[in-house]
Amino acid sequence: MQNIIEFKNVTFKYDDNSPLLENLSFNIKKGTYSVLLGHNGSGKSTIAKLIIGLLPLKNGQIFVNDLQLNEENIDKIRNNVAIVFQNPDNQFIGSTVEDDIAFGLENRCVEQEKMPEIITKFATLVSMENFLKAEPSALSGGQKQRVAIAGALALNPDLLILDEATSMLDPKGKKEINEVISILRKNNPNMSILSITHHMDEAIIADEILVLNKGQIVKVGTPKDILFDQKLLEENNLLPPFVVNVRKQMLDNGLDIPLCFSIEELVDKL
Amino acid sequence: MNIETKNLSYSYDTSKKKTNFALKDVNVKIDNQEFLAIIGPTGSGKSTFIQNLNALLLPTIGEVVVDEYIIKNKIKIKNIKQLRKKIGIVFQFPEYQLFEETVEKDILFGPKNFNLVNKNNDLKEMATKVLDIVGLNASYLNKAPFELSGGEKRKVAIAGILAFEPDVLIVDEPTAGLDPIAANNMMNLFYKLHNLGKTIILVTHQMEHVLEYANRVIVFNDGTLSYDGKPWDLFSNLELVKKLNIDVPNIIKLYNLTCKKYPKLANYKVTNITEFIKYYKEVMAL
Repeated sequence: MQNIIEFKNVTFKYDDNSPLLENLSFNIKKGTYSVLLGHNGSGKSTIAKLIIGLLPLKNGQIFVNDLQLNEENIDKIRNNVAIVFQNPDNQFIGSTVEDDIAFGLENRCVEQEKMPEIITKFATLVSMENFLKAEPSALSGGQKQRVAIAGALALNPDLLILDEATSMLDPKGKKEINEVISILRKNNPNMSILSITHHMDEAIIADEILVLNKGQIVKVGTPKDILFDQKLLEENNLLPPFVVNVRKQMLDNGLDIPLCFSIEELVDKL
Repeated sequence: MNIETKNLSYSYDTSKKKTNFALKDVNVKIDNQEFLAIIGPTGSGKSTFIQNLNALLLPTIGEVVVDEYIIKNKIKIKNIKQLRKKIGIVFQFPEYQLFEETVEKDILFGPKNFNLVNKNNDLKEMATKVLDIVGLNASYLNKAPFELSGGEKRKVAIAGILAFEPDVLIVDEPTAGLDPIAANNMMNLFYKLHNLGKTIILVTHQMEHVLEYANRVIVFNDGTLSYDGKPWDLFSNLELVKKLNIDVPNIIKLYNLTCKKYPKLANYKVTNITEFIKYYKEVMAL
């Protein structure tokens, strides 16, 4: 099959509230970098938590890498999916960087002798190889998130979920994470990445964008299809990326500028 | 209300020989009714600084002068409560700090604590008024905090600070985690409060907000004050931005790149898209 994630008629509600997700169906293709966009409270994080079985699925079906999410398969699925959450301080478990990366490996019963090599490999991937003995208190938010990503990748997942992984970081930390993601996309073309974000700079470089509103995926498309569609963005309480906004205002002022995806590209066309 | 820090240094180190200083010799004067932005990387001393302003932390060396109050190490400040009533701090992720059963009770906790509540004032009216300021209606009064969305909780937390009517409102990364529209609404709220006469001190990583709202920005790096001035003067100074390792707002990135291509644009000051288009057109017409 070609999908990493399939939702079929999923309905989910918290306690007695009205359903947050209602009869939701969508697919995400394998090997893509997909971005899930939606305003606060649209249900983005709920989708992430359903995929890894942190929330109970009561209505509908979810398939992750062709495996149906159920009691029987949950461990297999969790072995294939890694998630990085928002708060760098809430997911650092080890007393040092190497301990933290080792934590997931120990859970998977990886042989002790093989660990140092794996730890070094993934710490190097996120440029943290010189901090293996460092304690979390000595690390910045961006560094902790990079360690979280290294720990996730060390488990060799088919799917990496980033749930607003950059939203609590300073500008430098954000940049570091986004650089790691672009390296991953280049080096691991088979791994699927699902990023939940409010940052349009992260969305505009995606393969595919899914727009979530009121518990429904209202549109799936390329950044070009989604981010330049002013009506769609407005209807879903989203703001266009900076370059799209500049271009629109230029058009309104009689300046003819083609579609651009970055500030550099825009200036090039001026 | 005027705030001044004089040779302020702070160390979390409780042993006798203080080595690691989170703040080093900081001298800042904050005038009444400023909209001041504080920026700098994680761990640079921003949060330590704001906690020194209302005596939540006491200076290790130096002092903080707030109107008639002088905050120094090992000195008991008279009426510390009165000082804290004047300077309200909304910490990061304040939605986790709501603890009462209802929104109304949570909002009124501060005023009660500061003895602002007496038989003559209508508590419900007091709570309704501040809810209105943050953009929530009176139907929220009886709701339990856990029924609210993240953004709503954050607004209630801010209402709880506004309820004791501080002159200075300090907000620590108030838009972190909010979607762009909710973040803009939040910033417009501070702008409104500023226009109502409050001093706003904003700690943020969002450079666009600094340029758009603040009249002044200070930059912390490793506990040291490394810039104090106007946002435009900082962001438009390529060398300084590079030296301080600061991210600049998108509009400045666009402006800088366009100036390279059309150097005449550098004669104009550009702080938003409308100005950019106007001056770009002027330059092209030359």
